[in-house]
Amino acid sequence: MTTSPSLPIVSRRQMLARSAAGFGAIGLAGALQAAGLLGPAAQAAETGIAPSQGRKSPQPHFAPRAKRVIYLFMNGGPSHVDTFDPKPALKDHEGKMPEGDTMRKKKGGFIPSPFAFAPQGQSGVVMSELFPNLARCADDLCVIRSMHTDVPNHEPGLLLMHSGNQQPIRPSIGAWVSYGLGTENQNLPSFVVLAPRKPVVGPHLWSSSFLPAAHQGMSVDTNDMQVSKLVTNLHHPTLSRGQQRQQLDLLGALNRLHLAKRPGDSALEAQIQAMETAFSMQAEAAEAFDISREPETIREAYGTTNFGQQCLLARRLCEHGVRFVSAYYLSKDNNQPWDTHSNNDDGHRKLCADSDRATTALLTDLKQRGLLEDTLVVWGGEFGRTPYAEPQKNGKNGRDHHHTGFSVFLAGGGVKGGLMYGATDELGMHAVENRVHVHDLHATILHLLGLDHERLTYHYSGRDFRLTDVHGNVVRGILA
Amino acid sequence: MVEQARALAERLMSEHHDAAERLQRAYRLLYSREPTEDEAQLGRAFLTANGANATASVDRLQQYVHILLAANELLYVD
Repeated sequence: MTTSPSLPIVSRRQMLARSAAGFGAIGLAGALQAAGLLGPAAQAAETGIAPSQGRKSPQPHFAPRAKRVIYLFMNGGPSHVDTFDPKPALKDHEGKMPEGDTMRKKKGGFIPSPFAFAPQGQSGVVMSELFPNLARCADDLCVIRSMHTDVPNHEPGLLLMHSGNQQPIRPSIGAWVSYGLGTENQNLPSFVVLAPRKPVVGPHLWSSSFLPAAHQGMSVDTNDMQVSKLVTNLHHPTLSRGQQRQQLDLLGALNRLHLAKRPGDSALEAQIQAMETAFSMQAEAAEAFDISREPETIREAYGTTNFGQQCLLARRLCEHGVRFVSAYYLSKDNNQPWDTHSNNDDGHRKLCADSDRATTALLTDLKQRGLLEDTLVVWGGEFGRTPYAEPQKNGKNGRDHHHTGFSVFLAGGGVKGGLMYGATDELGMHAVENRVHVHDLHATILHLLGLDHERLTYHYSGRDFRLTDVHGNVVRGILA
Repeated sequence: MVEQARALAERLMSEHHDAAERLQRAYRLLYSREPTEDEAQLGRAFLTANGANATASVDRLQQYVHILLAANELLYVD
């Protein structure tokens, strides 16, 4: 054990962190002793286990089917019975009150969907008339109709869908994937988040939490798609690239001298890396983030809406080697537009029209470029909506949050296309056949990326953590 | 950052005429300590790179103190 003052076993910051984590003053001596005894081992864990530290790409556990993920998130929760899960029996039960504890208070009777459903493509994947374009991609879709999650509330639902935990204390799935697989592109972050504003919950949805800070999602405000607005400070106001390089070399040298006296501090290493990435990003991002370089026909296909533009940008980023891109469906005046408590039908007409066009353009474009084979596209929200009404005084009834049965779909990246997997009961209330919990979805996404969800662990606070905690089974039935 | 670096560089230029003294003063102001020999060497090399005159160029000094301001030592508290 060294006693050199320049090599503290416990730094002031660690000291505060450990104190804040629950060591009272009376436990101080014990804490210091433990730090002295366990310090080196803990340090090895902090730096040694992180496979992506220093951005050297770690290897997957087995051959991956997907190399990257585009997660299209429909914030607020789309209605499964109006989109991918037809329930004709709702017509027969119209007006009848649902039985049992539904966990929602403003309960109305069952209401059928006003939208017509039909099988599409060779495979006959069924979807509502709200997706006239997506119908052309039916044979690429793997619709899971038997999703279920733990709670019918946005914040815990979002957190569970993103991090496998209802509280904001765990890394996001994008951060886990970045940690597990590293980046395909040294000049761009491995995890990028596209949103025109903050969704409900906000930045914790893309947090790296206890994983090394380099795996945090880089959030990009997509309100203005001009590349100079998307990524600030792309160009130095006065210095040339050569002069900046000299500055950065000096900074790296000084920071390494600084780090040498504070070994094993992941935040300091991440900052050194962040400065290098920022520099190389100035060149690469100017190209990757610039959708104005796309031909007019392509831009037109995605549509001019914010979500359409985000889908196009997501494709460009994937082409440039970004591992995980999340595109959030939000609008200027609504941080969860799919939350159709009132006027569900008109809401879904409008939302689906936009999402249908953009999602179809993305899938078609990826396919034409040969990228859909190893890009996994996920479409869904944090839960579904009730098959029964949320009554409104103006008669424009809505649908409430519903967590015991809902739909998401996957495409590309090693999933079976043209598949409808699992089922809810005849009224769309509960997933009953081939049930898929959020943890199972996470395990499956990691599996497709070549990662075993039980082996992708990070040692923190005295134990190993996983995205799926102690749960999750790979949904073998949807693997191609 | 660029503006702060400019202000600091101009202050150092006006307070000291010697390049080594400016460097030392910058470390005292920003980090409350003397530079180590390694750090002083890196600083001298940066200020005289490209054949620059270490005592004459406020622009180069600005680029240098910009880096001291952006370094981990200033960003992170031990």
